[in-house]
Amino acid sequence: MAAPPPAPPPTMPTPRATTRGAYRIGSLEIFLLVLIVGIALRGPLSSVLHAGGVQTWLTIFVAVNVQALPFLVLGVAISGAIAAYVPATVLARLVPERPIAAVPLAGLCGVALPGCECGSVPIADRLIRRGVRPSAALAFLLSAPAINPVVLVATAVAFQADPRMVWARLVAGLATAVIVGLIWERLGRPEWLRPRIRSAPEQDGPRWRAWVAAVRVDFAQAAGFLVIGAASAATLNVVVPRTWMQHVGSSVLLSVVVMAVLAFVMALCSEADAFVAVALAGIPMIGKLVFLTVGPTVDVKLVAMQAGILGRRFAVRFAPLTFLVAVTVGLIVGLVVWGM
Amino acid sequence: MDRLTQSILLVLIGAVLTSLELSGRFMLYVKAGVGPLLLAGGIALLAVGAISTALAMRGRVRRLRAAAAAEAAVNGGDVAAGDARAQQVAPPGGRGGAAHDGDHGGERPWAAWLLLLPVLVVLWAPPALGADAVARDSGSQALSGTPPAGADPTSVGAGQPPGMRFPPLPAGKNPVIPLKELVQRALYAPGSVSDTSVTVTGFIAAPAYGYTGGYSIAQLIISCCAADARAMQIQVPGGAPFPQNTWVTAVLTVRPGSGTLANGYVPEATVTSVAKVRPPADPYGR
Repeated sequence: MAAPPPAPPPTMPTPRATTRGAYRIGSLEIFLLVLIVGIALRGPLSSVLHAGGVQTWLTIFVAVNVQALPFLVLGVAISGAIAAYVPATVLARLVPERPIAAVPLAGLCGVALPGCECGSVPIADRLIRRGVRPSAALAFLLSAPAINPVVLVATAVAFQADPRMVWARLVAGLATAVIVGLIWERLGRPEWLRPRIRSAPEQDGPRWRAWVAAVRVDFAQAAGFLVIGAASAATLNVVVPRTWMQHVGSSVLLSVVVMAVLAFVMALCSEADAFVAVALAGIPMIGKLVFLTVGPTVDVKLVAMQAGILGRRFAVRFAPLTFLVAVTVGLIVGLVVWGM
Repeated sequence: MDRLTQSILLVLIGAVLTSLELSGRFMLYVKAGVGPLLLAGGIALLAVGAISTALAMRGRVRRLRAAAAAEAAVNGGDVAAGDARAQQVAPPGGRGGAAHDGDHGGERPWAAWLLLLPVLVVLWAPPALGADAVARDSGSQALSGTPPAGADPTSVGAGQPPGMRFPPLPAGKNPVIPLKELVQRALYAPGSVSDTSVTVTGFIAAPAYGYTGGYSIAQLIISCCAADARAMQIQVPGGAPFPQNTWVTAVLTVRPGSGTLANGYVPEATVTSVAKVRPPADPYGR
């Protein structure tokens, strides 16, 4: 699979502007150079860009980015507001001290954030930095994209034929978030999270300036990792043949495994996944529920963002845990609702 | 990436989202309903980016000015005053000066550089998904768990999935219906389209899965963005009148019962006429 050239240059360690008059190339110069070269290359590259597979890749890549960016903007606006306007002491008072109460409460709060999964990563990161217990922030991270009203309405529209899916999804999504949160409370270690050398500027200057600074940094970082996720989702979309899904419907267990893997690699927005699930022919309802439970909580795009924002050591533990819990919960809830 | 460049990047991304919306080109990538959201996100980024750029520029100018003043002071022999000045502008830890400077490690995400990639790709303007995506998506056209009505051409509604009811076709000769509706009628209510020719719009694509020869008229159905596109196809025997990806309006009659499990439930149709048309602004179906 040919990725579109040119790759962005590695970060140059830009020196602090010296006062001695020596001209050093900084971020801005590299930035403009890449843009100009990229635009200039458009003509020479057009034959490569118009090859069938490459074109499909580029379109899906842009589509995932364009689709997710507005939600990311909403997410960083909220996360910036928490940084600038909500003192840490208030958060500490709002979140119950006992994890057995804090984690489910945080999970339920996910109902209040409309949107899909990309926006909740910076918010969870900010909550942890503001002293919220990681297990509670992670429960929020997992539940927000799975059980918010927009997603539930979309699910209801898609599954008109079997409205039980909406309830099954709500229960499975919330249960996954709470169980992962509680497991993290027992087993998680703070040092797995990316060490924070310093938090965003919060001390001096007016609050709105702190907000602008937080939005800028959070957006630049989170959106960068979104790009990685979009690229991998586009690659898998183009490369993985969908034919191998057609013959898995016969076995419930096989369909559960295949649908879980599919949800991971397709990295669909949680507002769209119900429409995709309903269209997959021959897959039992339990398989579809697993698809809808895994998709919003763990997929290639989310793992890229979590590794970048919350730390790689965190992501390699959190993603498999979430995947296992989501599959198990989806399977159990599915069995309760639909039976074998 | 330093603070000023990050700020300019925000402006750039905001401008890209806004212009995609205003030009209508966003419909090549996401569903039309995302438009207002895209515009709001784009304008928000433009505004925050512009303010942030202004703050960063002011910070740079101040720093340069202070540095020049410090240098002048050093040159003038007043070493202590110069040091004090420089200290005030760029403290060693960077902590106190964050609001003015911001050029320090924790605030310079390398990942931000990756954002140039989608900006460039948008400037290269990839078109809407077409025949290549159709060929890659060989999923079944039947609704899940609802086997089609079968070959009985008299059935008008038997086997219809609950919640799906087909109204009578629009009045007149060769009524215009969406391609997806034709496919679903052919599968679930073959009686309603078996003797009637209808007009559909789609693009020319390769013959559908399970057919040899001929070509297909296809459209992609999205529910959110192009990443979740599903193909809807009608197979047509004979040579393709136009190259692939050409948008056409065709008058055709489906052969009842021709969509089966073996061909992914792609019905076959005989075509009365095919005419080239301009690609629609919103190329995807619902």
